[in-house]
Amino acid sequence: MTNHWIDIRNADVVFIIGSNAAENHPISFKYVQEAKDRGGKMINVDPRFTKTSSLADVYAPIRPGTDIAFMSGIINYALQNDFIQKEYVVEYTNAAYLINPAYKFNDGIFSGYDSGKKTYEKDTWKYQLDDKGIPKKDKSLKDPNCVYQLMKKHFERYTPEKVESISGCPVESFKKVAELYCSTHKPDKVATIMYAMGATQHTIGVQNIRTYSILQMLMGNMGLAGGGINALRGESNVQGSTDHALLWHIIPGYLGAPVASKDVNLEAYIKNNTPKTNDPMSMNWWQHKPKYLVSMLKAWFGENAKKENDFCYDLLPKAHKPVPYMTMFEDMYKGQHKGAIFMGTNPIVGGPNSNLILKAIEKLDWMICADLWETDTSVFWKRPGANTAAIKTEVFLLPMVSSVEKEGSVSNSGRWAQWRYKAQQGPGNSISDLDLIDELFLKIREMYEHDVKAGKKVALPDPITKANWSYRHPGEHEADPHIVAKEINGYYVGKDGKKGKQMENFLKLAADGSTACGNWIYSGSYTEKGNMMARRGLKDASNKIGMYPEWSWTWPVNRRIIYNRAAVNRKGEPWDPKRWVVKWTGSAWKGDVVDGGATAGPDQKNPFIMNPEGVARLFAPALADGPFPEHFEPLETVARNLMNSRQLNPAVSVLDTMKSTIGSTARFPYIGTSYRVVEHWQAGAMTRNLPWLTELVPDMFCEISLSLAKAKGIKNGDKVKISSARGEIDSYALVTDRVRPFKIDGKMVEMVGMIWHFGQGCAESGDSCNTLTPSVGDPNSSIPEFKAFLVNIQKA
Amino acid sequence: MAEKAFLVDTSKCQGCRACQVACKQWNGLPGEKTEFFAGPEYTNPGKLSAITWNHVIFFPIDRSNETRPIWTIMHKKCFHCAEANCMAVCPEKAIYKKDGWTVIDQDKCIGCGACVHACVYQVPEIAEIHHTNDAGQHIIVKDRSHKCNACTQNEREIPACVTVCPSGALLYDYRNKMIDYAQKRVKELKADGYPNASIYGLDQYGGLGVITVLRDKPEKYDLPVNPPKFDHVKAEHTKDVYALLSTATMGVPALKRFAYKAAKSISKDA
Amino acid sequence: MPVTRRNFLKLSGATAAGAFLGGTSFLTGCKPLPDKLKGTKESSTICPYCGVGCGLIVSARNGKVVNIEGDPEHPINKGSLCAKGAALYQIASNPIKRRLDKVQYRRPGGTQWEEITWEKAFEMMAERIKDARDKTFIEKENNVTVNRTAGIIGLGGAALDNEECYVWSKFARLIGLTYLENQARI
Repeated sequence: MTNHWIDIRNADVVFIIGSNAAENHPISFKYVQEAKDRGGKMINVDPRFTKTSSLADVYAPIRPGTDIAFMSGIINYALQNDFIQKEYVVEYTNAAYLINPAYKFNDGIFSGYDSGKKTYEKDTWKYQLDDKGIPKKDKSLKDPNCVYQLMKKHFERYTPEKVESISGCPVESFKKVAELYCSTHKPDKVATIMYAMGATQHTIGVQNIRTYSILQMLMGNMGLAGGGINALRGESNVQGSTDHALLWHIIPGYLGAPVASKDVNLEAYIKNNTPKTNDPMSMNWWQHKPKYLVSMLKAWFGENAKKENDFCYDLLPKAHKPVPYMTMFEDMYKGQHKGAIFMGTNPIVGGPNSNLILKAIEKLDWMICADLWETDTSVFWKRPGANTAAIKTEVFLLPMVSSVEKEGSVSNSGRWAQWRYKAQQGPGNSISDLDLIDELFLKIREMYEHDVKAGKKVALPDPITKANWSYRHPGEHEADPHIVAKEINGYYVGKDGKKGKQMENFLKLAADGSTACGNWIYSGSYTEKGNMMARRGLKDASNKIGMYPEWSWTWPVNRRIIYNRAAVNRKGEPWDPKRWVVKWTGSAWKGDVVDGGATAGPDQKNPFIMNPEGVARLFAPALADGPFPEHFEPLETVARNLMNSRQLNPAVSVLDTMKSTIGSTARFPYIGTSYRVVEHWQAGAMTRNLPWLTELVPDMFCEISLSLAKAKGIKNGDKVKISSARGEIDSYALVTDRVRPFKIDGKMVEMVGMIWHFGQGCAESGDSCNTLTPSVGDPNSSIPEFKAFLVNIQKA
Repeated sequence: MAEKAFLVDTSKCQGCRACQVACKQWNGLPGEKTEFFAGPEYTNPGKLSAITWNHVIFFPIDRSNETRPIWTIMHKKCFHCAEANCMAVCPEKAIYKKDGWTVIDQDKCIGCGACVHACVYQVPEIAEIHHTNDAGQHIIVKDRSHKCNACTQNEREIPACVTVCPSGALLYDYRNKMIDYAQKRVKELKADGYPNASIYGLDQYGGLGVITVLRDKPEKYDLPVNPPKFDHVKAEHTKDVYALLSTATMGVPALKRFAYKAAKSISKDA
Repeated sequence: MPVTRRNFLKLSGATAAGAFLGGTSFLTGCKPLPDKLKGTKESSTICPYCGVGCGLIVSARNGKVVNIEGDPEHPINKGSLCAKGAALYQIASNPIKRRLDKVQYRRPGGTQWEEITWEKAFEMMAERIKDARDKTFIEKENNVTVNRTAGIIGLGGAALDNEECYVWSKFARLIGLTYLENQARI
């Protein structure tokens, strides 16, 4: 979220798309209701009529996977009617920037496409530069090569009628949504967009989100109270797990993970990863990246990290290729891995095309599962039908304590890092994940030290033996999360007088080895003043918009609304004086912690400080699949693409293991889609073992329309079989008029919606929806397509 | 009549069912074993019971107005009637009013089921199990009648179902305030395109302790505007006969239950 | 920060109706404290389910959790919860004994779990990780130092605390893993 939960109450229009927030983030509705109570309106766009829809002022149905068509229709509506916040668009976006005249778009393909590699060469997407190396602009927005003109041309093809034919949303409903949403283009009106996995889990997921951001920029809604782009995160600390880089492509604080092909040494890494700008208006915050990386290396390798050895940069592993989730399991299936460590995760239920994941796991020599429960994954070897004796995988199932049995912090969607406490001992021999990792590391280090001393040949021990790893108080057998939190925050290593003191924030981090900081974005969370994440102050800030700056701590630097420089005009006056976030007094900023440092005035620096150009990108020259969103069909689809002659996003590569299992409408005529219910959580172990929740939803079920039920002779509560090209599952059928077929390109198409929380191995079990889903994903994010695929259904 | 009242605003309910779980958490009630869904849509369990004192009913979506479909989701528990049939019919005076709330005294209840049959809202149920909660309270006694007691048993300022509600669909305050609020909501809903918006519970059985705001007429949600009048004469007759017969039961609940059944059948014949 | 019971009860009233009706007039008199919470020690926690980050108050007696409800002071949820958050108590109380309480091991081809000690488990796991690292470690590739352990993958962490995520991320990189992913990707 650029904003945060409470801030939803400040919106005039709450636009919920790709999310069933009432179901999956119920407490967000405290603030949706509050916005409505204050006269705001709520729009919901969803393939089903959901709990969110039931409270909406305007509801519009769309076929799964057609968000780009729908939202591009709104972009077109806004541009054609000039419903844009012109001053904001000119000043704070790249609308006025001139693009290379060689840029072209033709029949779904942008210039620079390599059809063999399915990638783009992006030279023609670049800005035109002046002789100082600064992007050229035309603030009148008339130059045919300026982003505004290119955008107008790109999106004019998305007429309301096209929207209807592609998405199945009647023109009337579409227009209602467009009209209400675009009412927020006025400077003092604001809309928030709330989205979740309904938007991201597609082969065009990132471009779905792009349509939202383009619209929020055109309306001038970014950075404002009640505005922003708000991804509703589904796990209590999926924000933190991302911040701390439990992902192949990053290291803590969103620094790029070193790549073998180019980041050959520290100098090369810094050169490849640190953006430059000649524009004096640009803050270009990533110019500080070397300070963050070197400080992290100091935190990781302590005194061993020295200038003369590149601060131990070489000891970081370098990836040979992108290895996201689906690639990981494909490589495991090909037999490339000996062991796997699963920390509180259940990929057999949670991952796409789960039969493949099962077969991959069977090829491991060993597997470690740390969890509160037996999960489908940890007991895969004794699942019904398994040839147990033939499965050679060793399994360690480790008992972990729950959230109320340990101490530490979690970061919510609004980036609030909140501390929690231990209230009781965990059952039996359970321990915390922290103690597990700590003890395991010390054990491995002991073995390496022993072998080195004994002169045995081992793999390079240095990353392990030279690491700075000390999380226990002397004489203690357990790690202390406070010590870890202090390392994450960072401390002075060499600065005279301050040596050993906690960093105040990341502004003083240095690239010379004088500071250590585990994760720069969390710098400020645990200072000399103490644990800021444990704060419980209830005083609101001077702007009275519900930021509660003294409650817990928010990254970065306790900023509650990011890009808040965009909340004021160039004079520093709030676009909406009644709901101001920050304002410039002529010499200082008031309100929220302003983006990019307190000294630069509103006319001196551009607000989007993380982009080297300092403005937001309506035209995005860095994405894998094009600078503008374009509609493509899912890998498995019921329709032909009405926008261009390509079916699948041309930048998507299909994995080898997926190629033979792509279904077509001949055998699988219905749209399959998957989602969650409030009573269950993710792969289900945390809820399918709780009797109060299994009372409410005890079984795997799907939802189908009255017409499909009639055609298939299925009654409510019947058991059904649902199949895709990848497998078949049993389910109960909920027959409901909340689900209706879509009229697509003149033809009626039915949908089978499924929850995905079920699997075997818990108190209440059932078949897993992910047996059916395809392992294909977005070319930018590699998030799998869980939301649109092909299935068949019949009465069991 | 209760000084306080619950307000159930179905136009704000998001169906998160926190109320259903929070009641079980606070009171220490066990989960029920269910299969698929016992009622329409996601409704589970299908009815209130001795161990489920409130539940959420998901009515089928009403699409008769295409532009404003209504999917009503309604929290249901004991309505705490001012003139409670269950209280009037109880042969042991086990059901009484505490601060205006209808409460079953477990020490007096004989499990005859009179209250179960007398309640037009199908609220109380005779327990088939014993259940001791984690706090050591014998919260459910077998062969006794159980239902919502408005958190008067494990007393708290605000009942657990209300504290937990995220969206203002469940409120609790003085009854007159709740009625004012309900009337304000209905006015707003009518202006918002729901011409049949209504309030339920103002007058039924002397006024209910649970006021319900609806986007359509109460009848659509199985809430009778004119519920059957209670037959006091017959009830009193049954109780008289029971009083006579129960002298021979030596205080044994099973015999008392038998005596009540006999009394009921005798007074029916009369 | 520990929260006093007095505050908890007072505030649970103030938010439930006060927030919506703008009044606190119902806070009349001083009712007897509920037996259920008598003598309990209260601490705050954050819900382990979705990403909203609701606060809860955990009440424990003699080191055992007896009640968990929404934290009325928490500025986001103000005492409210959803069905999952309201059921958190059943993770702590473990009514049907599904929680893991011992280390279990399944040997190759084994048909059942075998209980082992933590000491033994750490020894065995460290040996396997070290062995896989020693056998699959790539120090140089095309003359570039890559220091990568190709044969081990790490997955998960979205339900861990920040401090755990951080040491897990550090651990994985120090061991040489590049195959490291979590639920954020799916």
